[in-house]
Amino acid sequence: MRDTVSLTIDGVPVSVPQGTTLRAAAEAVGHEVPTLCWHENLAPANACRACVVEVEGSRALVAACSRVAEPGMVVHTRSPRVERARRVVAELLASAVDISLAPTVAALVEETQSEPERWEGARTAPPVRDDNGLYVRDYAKCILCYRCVEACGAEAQNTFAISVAGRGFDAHIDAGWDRAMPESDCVFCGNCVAVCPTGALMDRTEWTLRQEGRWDEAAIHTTDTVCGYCGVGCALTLHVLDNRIVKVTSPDDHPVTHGMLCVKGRYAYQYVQAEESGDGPLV
Amino acid sequence: MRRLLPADDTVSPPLSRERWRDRGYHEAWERALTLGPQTVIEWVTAAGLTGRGGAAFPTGQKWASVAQSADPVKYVVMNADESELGTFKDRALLTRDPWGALAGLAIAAFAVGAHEAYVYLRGEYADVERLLEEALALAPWAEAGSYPLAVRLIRGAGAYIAGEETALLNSIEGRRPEPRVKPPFPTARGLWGHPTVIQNVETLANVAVLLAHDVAWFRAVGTEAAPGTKLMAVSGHVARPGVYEIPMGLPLWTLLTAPEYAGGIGGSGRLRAVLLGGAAGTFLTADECRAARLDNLALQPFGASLGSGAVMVFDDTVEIRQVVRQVAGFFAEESCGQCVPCRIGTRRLLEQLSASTLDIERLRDLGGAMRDASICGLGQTAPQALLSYLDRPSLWPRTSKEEECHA
Amino acid sequence: MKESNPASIQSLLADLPKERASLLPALWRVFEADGVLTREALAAVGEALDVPAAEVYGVASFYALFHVEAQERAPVRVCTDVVCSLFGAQELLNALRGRREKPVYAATCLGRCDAPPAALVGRQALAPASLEGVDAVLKGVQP
Repeated sequence: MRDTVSLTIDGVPVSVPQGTTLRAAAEAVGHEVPTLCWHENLAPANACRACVVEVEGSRALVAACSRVAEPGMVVHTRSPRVERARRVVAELLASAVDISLAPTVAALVEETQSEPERWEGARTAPPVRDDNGLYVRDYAKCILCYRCVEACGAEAQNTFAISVAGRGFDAHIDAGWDRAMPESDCVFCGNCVAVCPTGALMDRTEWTLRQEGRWDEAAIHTTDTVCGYCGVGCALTLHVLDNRIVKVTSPDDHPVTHGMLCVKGRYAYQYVQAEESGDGPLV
Repeated sequence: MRRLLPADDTVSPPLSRERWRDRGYHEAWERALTLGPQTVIEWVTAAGLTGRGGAAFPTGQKWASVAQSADPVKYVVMNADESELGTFKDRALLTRDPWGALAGLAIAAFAVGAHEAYVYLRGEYADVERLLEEALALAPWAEAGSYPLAVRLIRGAGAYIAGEETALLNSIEGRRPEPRVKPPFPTARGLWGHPTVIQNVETLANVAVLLAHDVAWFRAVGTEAAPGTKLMAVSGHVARPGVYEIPMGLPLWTLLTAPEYAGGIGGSGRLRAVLLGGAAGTFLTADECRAARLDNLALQPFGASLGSGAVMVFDDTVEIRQVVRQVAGFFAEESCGQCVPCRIGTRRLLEQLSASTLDIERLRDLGGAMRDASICGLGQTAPQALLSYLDRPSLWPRTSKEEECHA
Repeated sequence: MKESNPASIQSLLADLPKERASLLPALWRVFEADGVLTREALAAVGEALDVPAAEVYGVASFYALFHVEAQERAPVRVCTDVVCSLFGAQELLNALRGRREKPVYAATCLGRCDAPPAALVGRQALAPASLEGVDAVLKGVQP
């Protein structure tokens, strides 16, 4: 067949459609590759390197999230080199960033039996930015996965309100001059919050409830509905805690939204819950 | 050995039309136009020319893949970002013979079918920039009017990583100079997604002298696997620091000590080590320096390569561990920050090397992971010098107490 | 020092194509005119080239030769890298820092290892650099 590619993953022969990434091909043989920065609806950033695998004949390891399967490739997803790389990636992240609300990073640390304490040193620890009514930025939790930048930019929102700034260990997400979000080009769609895997970006409601010790993941139930603000038909998932809407998301697999919403769909619920009327920008 | 660097008795001014002719570049350009693109690529391939920026990729192969592309828009780029630690050969070459690399750039453009070319020059080289501006205004290759070619000079702004070929492309495009994931390689998707040839200054100068002569002439020096000459930037404790052109395969010791080259060990006069190849290079002990020959094949047993052609020489008053720490500082400063192993790893290496004792197993672990899992050559080679130091206990601090700390 | 304003930046960049690829040359023009890339100037560059402000800042803040804060027409940088540090770079840096109010920066390798220690004053390279040499260049560039 011309449009399939045959390769070997961990000794298992597999045929996949042309254009399939190694991540997807590995999944097809049941050998899941861990990912941190990869997101199903965003272009791969290749940044976290948790998904690296060994391809025979390739000097360095390759990122399974973006590398496309080629005929005859011999891939190892669990070789000693791969396992060392993953362990060190997990250790480095945990040594530099607050991963307390980053389940995928925490899982990688656990899985790889990482010892982050080996790397005691400088940490990413800027102050919490609580500068708008809708979401809070705690970049001490940021692993620089680029998801927010992509969601804000060409991959979804096309607003380009944020970028990576600086370089090296000091590289960070910035709306320009470290300014507050209301002074930036932000339109408060919250799509950056939706794709953030580490809690660095968090809806203000959730953040406040967490601060008060009242956020209880187990007690939240969800209800699916359709947004009524316009005719597009975005699917909404309402997260309800103690009879109050505390968060609105959209399913990542929804054909219209791909998990993305606008400010009204994501945040306008606040205005029906009177005591919490926002003091931020009423767009 | 002088091929790329003009002989000492060259009298024509570097940017004169006489020099363009004296050096054979007029003839080289005419010859290229006569031979046609395909034959030029055949020459470059047959000459066995490989990239002189560090990666040593076969130049002809790169050109052929761009020439074969059906995309009507192609680009060629001269990489003059030279920011590798201890490296200044491209500055010397562009200053002493600016036409060579530019003739090579025009020939490369003609060979692959590109009508737009870029010269990306590091921003710290204002003196070279003035020369290049003047050269591009004269553009002697445009005289015949036979091949339309627009050349733009882009000034970098202080970023070692912008010399990585895909980061360089992003820099030209006005983006952050973060490396792109490869594949696709620039030969398939380069500037604005079009096939692009990127070559180091010295590689292009080699193309010009090749076309000014022929394949047999080109291969008459150097080794079978690595024909031609190489520019080496020698600095540190030698009698005469500078850029020297050597036949590939020359003994390193000859480069360090011969009167026509660096003229002997300086400082205390007693050699401790050489860092060969730049920040991403390998430490060689004094004994190894007496045994090594300067071509990539011959350097393999030492775990070394020519890299950028940097040769940093340290006498026996230099504590190599301190140099290792400085190299780590260089990478921590120059990492773009895109991927985790490099962004955090370069910082951790610096921190570990600033401690009083080194945990060798831990450093090897981190170094190995950085080498394997970083996106680009910067992160992959950042631990190289350190790992070569760990492999050579004779370079470790000499007091027994410190040795124990290491063990 | 009189800084560019949005109107003067428009004319400074008038001949550049209005596209992202003009960003690096545009930043250089403004930086050479002002000795700094102020917030207002960067925003105006973004307007002129149709590049979002956050991205203009993201690019400008990457490069070591650009300054988005300190203001000086000819910032002084001393190479303190491997070779220069063998030949008195740190001493030169300390001496300069001891007698100047404006910041003096330590730089990674400037590519002048054949004549150490190297320094940059503005864009002018000095190799070997000395206190007197730096002073002489500064005298020439101060307004």
